[in-house]
Amino acid sequence: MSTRAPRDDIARFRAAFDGHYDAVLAYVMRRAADPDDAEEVLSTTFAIAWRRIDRLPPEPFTLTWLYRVAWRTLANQERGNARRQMLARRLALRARSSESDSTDQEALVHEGLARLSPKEREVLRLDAWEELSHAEAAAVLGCSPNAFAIRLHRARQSLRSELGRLGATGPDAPTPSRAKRSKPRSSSAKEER
Amino acid sequence: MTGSPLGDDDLMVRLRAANPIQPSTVGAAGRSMRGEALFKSVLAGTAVAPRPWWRRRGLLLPAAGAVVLAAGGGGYVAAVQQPSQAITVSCFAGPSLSSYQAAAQLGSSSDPLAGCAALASSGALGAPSNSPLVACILPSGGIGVFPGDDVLCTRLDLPRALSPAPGSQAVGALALTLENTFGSRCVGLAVAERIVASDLALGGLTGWRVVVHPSTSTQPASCAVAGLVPDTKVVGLALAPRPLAGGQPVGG
Repeated sequence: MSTRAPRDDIARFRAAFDGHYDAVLAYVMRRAADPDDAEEVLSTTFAIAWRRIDRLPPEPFTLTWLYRVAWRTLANQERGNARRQMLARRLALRARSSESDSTDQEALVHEGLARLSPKEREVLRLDAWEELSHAEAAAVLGCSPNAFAIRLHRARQSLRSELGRLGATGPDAPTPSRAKRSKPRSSSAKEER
Repeated sequence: MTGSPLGDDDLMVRLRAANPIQPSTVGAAGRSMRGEALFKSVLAGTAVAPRPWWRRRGLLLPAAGAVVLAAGGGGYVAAVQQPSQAITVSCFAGPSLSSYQAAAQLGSSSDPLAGCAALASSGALGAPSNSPLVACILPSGGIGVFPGDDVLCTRLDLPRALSPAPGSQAVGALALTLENTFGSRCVGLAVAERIVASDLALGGLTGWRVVVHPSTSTQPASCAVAGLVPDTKVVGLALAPRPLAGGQPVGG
């Protein structure tokens, strides 16, 4: 059992909250089934950070620690929501089929991601959406950077297969318009960060 | 669509394009008032609790139904939930989340009430006390032990944590099954009744009965929702506006 020394803790928590609120909010919103779920996970994540303030790592490790807490919280939430999300996703995919091609392509990617295992999905999202280095992403998942690189390679293969099954091939397939704005960095470039 | 399999770069382009929150937009609007409110509520120990399972989609009882069922069945809001994993036990000095004092890691087989009672009587939480304690499930999934009676968890908007008892795990499993079933499918009352009866039998829960509440919804496409009252061994069924777009009631 341990008791708290609030004053220093509040300052530390304030710094972590101010520094990473936006990033954690975006992380959660990218993954939650709906805004209510996102809000729930966000508040739980920071509540855990406050409750375990003595274990909150210093910068620059704070964000990946918060991502890790959020990831676990989302995983708990998803277990209960899995069936509902699957149905909602299918309905959304069907509804999007009549929309623009770029939206359709994005829906295909989401469907492809949904067909992967949760860990494969998270590996790809940390790499492409949070744009973390392998070392940072490995810290979120609790593995070594080398293990992350291997997982990423396998996850890409899995997604490629799923997208192939869904009829998405490249480079002849239309490219989403938004993608043109950001040029992908290679994995090796990321490792140099 | 024709073409070669996707290369790594093309795959990355597509993944990034499918990012629901583009990095360039993160934080662009500045920290919202909501962010500040969250900060304060976390410090105060009143951060938004996870919606209890009986309030999640598919298990929302229509207000009128809840009142009637509460009168007949002992209160559908007095639900209990088995903690998924008893990891951290927080002993609270007072009957509120803001009175947090101490926490410890306990094995799932340990009794959190006994641990906190020992702490309270030793004076580690303030003045030595032998008040009755109640265990609730905290937003984090851990267990919070408060001085108070059985209704305190409900007052704090937290599910009550059950002490391990024969059948309680099966009740927790039933609650999850019903949440998944009625959260993802829109069925009428007749079909829902058959599903619940089957789930009760599969869970080995004997002595339970299903109470079907007459429809109060005026919407044509309503779906069955369920609520549990473990104390009286009742599963209540009622109709509510359908939870998912596109779902049509099956049967009933």
